[in-house]
Amino acid sequence: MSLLKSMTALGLMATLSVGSALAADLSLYSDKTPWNAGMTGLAEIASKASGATISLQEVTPTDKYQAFMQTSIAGNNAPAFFTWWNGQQLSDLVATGIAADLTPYWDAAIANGDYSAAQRELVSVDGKPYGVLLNVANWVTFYNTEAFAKAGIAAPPTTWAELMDDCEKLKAAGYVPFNGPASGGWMPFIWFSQLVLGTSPDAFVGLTDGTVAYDGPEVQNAFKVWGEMYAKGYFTDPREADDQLNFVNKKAAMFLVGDWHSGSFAEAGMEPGKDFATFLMPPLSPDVQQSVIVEASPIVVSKAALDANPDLGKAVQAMMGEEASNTLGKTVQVYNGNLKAEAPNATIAADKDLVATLKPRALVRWWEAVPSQIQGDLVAAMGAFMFDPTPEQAQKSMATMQSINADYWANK
Amino acid sequence: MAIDLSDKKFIQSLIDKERRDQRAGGRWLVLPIAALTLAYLTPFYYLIVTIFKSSEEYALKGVLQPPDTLAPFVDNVVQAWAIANMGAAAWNSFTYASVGALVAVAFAAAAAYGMTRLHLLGANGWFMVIFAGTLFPFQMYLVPLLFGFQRIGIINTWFGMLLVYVAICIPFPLLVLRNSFSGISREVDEAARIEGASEWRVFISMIIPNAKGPLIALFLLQFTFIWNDLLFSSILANGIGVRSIMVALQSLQGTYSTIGPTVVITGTLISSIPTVLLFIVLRRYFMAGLQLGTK
Amino acid sequence: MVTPASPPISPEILRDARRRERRVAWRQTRVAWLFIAPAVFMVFAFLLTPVVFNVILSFTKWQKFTGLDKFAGFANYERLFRVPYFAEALSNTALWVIGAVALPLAVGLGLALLLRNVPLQETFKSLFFLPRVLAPAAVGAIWYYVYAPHGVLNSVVSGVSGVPFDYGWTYSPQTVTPAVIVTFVWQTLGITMVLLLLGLAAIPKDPIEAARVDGASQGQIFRHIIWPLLLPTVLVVTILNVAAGFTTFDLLWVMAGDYPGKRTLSLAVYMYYEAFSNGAWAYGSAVAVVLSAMVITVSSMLAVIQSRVEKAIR
Repeated sequence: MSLLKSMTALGLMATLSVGSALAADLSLYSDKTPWNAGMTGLAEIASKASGATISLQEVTPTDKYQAFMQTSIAGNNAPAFFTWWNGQQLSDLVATGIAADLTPYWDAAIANGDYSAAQRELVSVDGKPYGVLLNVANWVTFYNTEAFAKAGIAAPPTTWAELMDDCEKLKAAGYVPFNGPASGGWMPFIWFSQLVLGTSPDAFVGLTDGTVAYDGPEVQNAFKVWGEMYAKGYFTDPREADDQLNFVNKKAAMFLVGDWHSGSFAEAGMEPGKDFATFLMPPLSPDVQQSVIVEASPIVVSKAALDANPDLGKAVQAMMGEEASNTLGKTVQVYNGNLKAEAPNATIAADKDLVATLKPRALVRWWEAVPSQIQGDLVAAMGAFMFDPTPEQAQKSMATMQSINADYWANK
Repeated sequence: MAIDLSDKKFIQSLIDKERRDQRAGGRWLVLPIAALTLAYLTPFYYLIVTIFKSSEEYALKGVLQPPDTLAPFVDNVVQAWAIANMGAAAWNSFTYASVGALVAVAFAAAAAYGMTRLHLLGANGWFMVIFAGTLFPFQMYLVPLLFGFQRIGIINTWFGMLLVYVAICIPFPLLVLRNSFSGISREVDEAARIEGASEWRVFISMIIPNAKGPLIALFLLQFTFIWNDLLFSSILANGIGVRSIMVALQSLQGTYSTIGPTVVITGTLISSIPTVLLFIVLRRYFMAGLQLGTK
Repeated sequence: MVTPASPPISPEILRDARRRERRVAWRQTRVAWLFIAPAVFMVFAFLLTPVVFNVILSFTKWQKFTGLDKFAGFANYERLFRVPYFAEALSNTALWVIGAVALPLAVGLGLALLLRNVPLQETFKSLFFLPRVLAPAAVGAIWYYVYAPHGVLNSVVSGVSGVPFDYGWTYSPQTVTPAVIVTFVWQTLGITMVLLLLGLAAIPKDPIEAARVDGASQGQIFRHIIWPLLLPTVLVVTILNVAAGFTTFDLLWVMAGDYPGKRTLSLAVYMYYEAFSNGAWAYGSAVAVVLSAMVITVSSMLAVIQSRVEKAIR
């Protein structure tokens, strides 16, 4: 074949493949790998309802996923459905104008009794909902029932003093009180935010809107308590890469994490309700209000896709229905908040009851509330403390965090 | 005592003695160097020892202790294969590397031919344009390529990834082939042209066969480069169906994995086998390829 | 050879001949364009255009989702000096580059000198070269477990000292860069050594013989004869390792795992972190531009020195 002919063939091939790639992308993008089975089920339900083919596309890890979404949106190429985060992360996304306003679908769902108005708030920006709920989780403290029994702890602690006491009892019984990994590059913020929350919920909120300093008195207190807990040996080695290992192998007695993690504990052989149960971490002092951190992950719908394919509206409706919720619950034990659906496991059911009884103040997780531009750098400073939990490092971390924070708010 | 320099036997005995001294001087070094080499290769020992352990065994024993049996190996391989989807990833890497290296070397050879054997205006200028592609560190290409691919729609496609690999692998072979083609005597193609052969025929039948050594060495080098790449494939072709084997390997180490070092190390082995095999079998060409790099 | 007198050539024939020559040359050039077209197109489209775009990008405000169309002047470059991370990344990069160049050279040279006259040279060469064939990602994965708190290195130390030792080599700011340098040396030692062996082999034996006969010591022979003649090869190795040191990404990213200070380990990692993890696209591009400028400057300087040294030797 002559040179010219082969070059033409190559060029033709190129154009053809590019052409096929440009075809409409009605996919559901997700970065939540462990929930793949559930997400696939969700995509199937959406496809059946709308008549279009909606497939699951996975992009991991999380930072890759975010990079992909950011470049897609900057290039006017957003996928039809994609998982995201609420809070400030959602506000930033909505500001770009690519997210569809889902008010009519939420109105229908609330009228149908699937969701409550309070839940709508979780995914709203300026009063309008921009997402369908994928996961609603409370951040609780899991505890090993066997460990508590062996240490002679009759009931989970309700005050901080009791909690510290229980830690000593657990240590005496041979357990490390808390599983405290720093893996994944995001976990360090968990204890930081919980301790600030336990010092003052208002300060917790103020951290993420620029009104409270990261080296202010509340944060100083949080680091002080945190450091003391490390000094007393209450945490496992933060360098452990597997975030649930020490809880599942019963070396550590407690684990502060979102209650969606119960699914992976169950997969590792622990039975929800029997082998482990949960309690809400008490505030640092009794005169501080009891609060709970709520994580709500939405699935965002692209406005362009919805406008171009009105049938997708049926998919949105289906994703807010009971069947979708049950699918998620049965496959990956994820609860998306649907009031009519059954709770995926005993733990999540118990948490729902706990929250209903105690009626704690519900606050958006720090991860979603913090401005996304400084999120990574702040977490890294917290992580630096976890690997070197000394007072000097605490001061260094706080100074770093505050300089980043101040710089962001000053240059907005 | 007078030395008779015309006595050939005597001179030969001097030379032999010198050679013996040299080799003897070197011989005693073998043992210490062997020890050094063994210490140097400890990570490989760790690799071999680990792939035959199960996760529990690994946690219980010392990391450098030999395994109990060879049995866990199969389980490790199955796990690494399944969790990271290594089969598909290996095939992707294989196609990227073989097609990419082939096309890149072919394009480079064609360009080298055009620059050296044909009367091309501004040949040096064209060469500088292509060579400029090697001046910049890869970091310069990442963001624009990601964004551009998104815009065009070839992000996360096999074809898009291939295009980038081909582009990256052109400049170095071009540099080498340009030198090597210049060395082939002109009479070869002049003779063919007088016979009435087209340039394409001259290229295929006359020049290529004369440059087999460098061509093979270059193909091997670029194959290895593409196979080993993590940076570009993790950004431009991260999707499950198109990811390279190195990206798959990295996913084994990722956040949500609850698997231990045994499976990850096995995955490392799986991903390294092709290049190691190539190296063992075609060592000569690899070494030759190195020399090309220094000219 | 004596040629018979040729008949005078008329101007028309000359003109026709020249025209024919030009036509042939022109036809050849057109064909030549076809030959170089694929290579030029690929490089232009996928390498050169991105470079230009990258520079333009560094002058926009693109961060996260928005700002691609907004002009920001030198704001991103100013930010480089305002943020402590850049300075950190810069100093770490300097440390890393110096280590990545000096250590393989020193160790490689020592090994090359040792291996010069040893039997089984080819076997040793191949064994030392083996790590070079592995992917940096694979090497990083293996060495991640070598340096892990319960990994190979700590096992050896515990075994030798008798005390359990679980220091986090890649988790502490003081030891992380040296640790990764060691891994880098492990991987590039082979190629450095092979290149140096080639360079050593090229040195003529006579001056060395003569010096030995004159009674010069090994050290003097090395300093005055071997080293100067080896300099071009040393410089080539330096150029290769300098570029690698500035731009190494895979190894650092995989080995440093969850270490919080990972992002300032080197400029290359910092660029990736800012662009792809933080979403600061324009700022990341500015870092890439600065990184490129550094690499090109240093490499060019070294290349100039290298060609001068080579000329001097000849």
